[in-house]
Amino acid sequence: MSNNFFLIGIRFLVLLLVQVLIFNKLNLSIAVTPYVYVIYFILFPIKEKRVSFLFTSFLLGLAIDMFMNSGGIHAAASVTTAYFRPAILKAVFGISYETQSLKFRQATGYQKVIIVLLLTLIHHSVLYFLETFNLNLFLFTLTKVFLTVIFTTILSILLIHLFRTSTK
Amino acid sequence: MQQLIRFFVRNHVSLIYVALLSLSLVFIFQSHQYHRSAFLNSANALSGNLFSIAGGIESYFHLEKKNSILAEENSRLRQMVSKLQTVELPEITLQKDSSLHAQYTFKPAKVINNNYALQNNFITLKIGKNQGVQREMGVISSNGIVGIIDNVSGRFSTVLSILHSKSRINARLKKSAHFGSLIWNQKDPNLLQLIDVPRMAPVKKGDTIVTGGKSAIFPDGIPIGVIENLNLNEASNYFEIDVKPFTDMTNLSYVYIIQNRFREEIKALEKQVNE
Repeated sequence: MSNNFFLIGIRFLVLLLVQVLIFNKLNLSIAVTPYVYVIYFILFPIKEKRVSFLFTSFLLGLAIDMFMNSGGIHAAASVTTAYFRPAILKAVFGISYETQSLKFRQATGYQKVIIVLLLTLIHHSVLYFLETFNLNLFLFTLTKVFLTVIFTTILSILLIHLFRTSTK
Repeated sequence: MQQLIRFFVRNHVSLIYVALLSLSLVFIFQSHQYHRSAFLNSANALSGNLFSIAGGIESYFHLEKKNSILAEENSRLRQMVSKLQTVELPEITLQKDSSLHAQYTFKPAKVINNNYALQNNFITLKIGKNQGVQREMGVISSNGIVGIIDNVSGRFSTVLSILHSKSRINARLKKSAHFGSLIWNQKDPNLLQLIDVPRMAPVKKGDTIVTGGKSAIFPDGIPIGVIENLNLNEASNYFEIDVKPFTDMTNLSYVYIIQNRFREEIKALEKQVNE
């Protein structure tokens, strides 16, 4: 338990720093910023309490907001993603996923992609629509959401695989 | 009562979710209000120091480009000086008068974090209250305008970039006094929009846009950009103009903060008018 807690804390800090200092500066020509800190929501242990998941996700979003001067949009998007994760896991693994003590890394490749894609989609939709806050730009925002979701999903899966041994 | 408690216990996760979501919505709406500083901003010691360390490393990668920008600015200023020196001025004797001091002073500041790909962009500077920076001071680069100071802490400050949905800057045509407002439609960081320019204004593609000086923030005539496309809205009789800014917002390292000596006086006067 304490080992888990330590691991989650390290992951929190590393993802925060990597997001703020590296990926926020990585603006591609299509003006898309990958929000790879969604890895936190993907890798947070399934058997941990949902309340602590909600609170730490909120704090992670709030910390990102502080660095990006974005008010609270990352906090809102993060806490929403954390709230809806059990529903997604249930849809992917089946109803009894909680009793099987599953881990994300044990999922098949296909399941992994679906989980990452759905979590990223929730996170980015909330994020971009709160950020734009303007229905006149609906289509523009929608394209931005789709482009970024694809980009973040690919990057997140790559990063999770790259750092497999260090975060096990 | 017992049922109520049971309800709370059973739905505690959803209730906590709703509470946290509402809290973040409160922060968002607070940050949307213009005259209130955001609850969370990067002008604090933690993010400021982190950004200044990272910015210190990053700045080495752009040294060559920065040098050439500075050299260009120097040559431009030298040309202006030499032009002024050739003008024959009549012999005048200056009187010692405090009102003859320059109205605007320029302070250099280092950019430690710069966003331009978001819908609402901010820049973080390594200069703060201790160096005399206050909210609503103008920020320019060596080529043109950059934004307006938004939040200030002891050693750091954040700038509301011209690439922000709430940015609204008084601008005019360089060759005539017709003015409008410079805004950003949140789409392309290389195109700003000039609105409220009336139909009778002599506007052409390629014309230069400068600041209008109708606020206490920017002096008159600071360059902004050139007109990229324009189109007359027949319904409203106003032009819709796309402006390409002179400042490359994606590549900033040093900026100047404009201090207006008469700012307080102008503000006090405007406040009287508004009341």
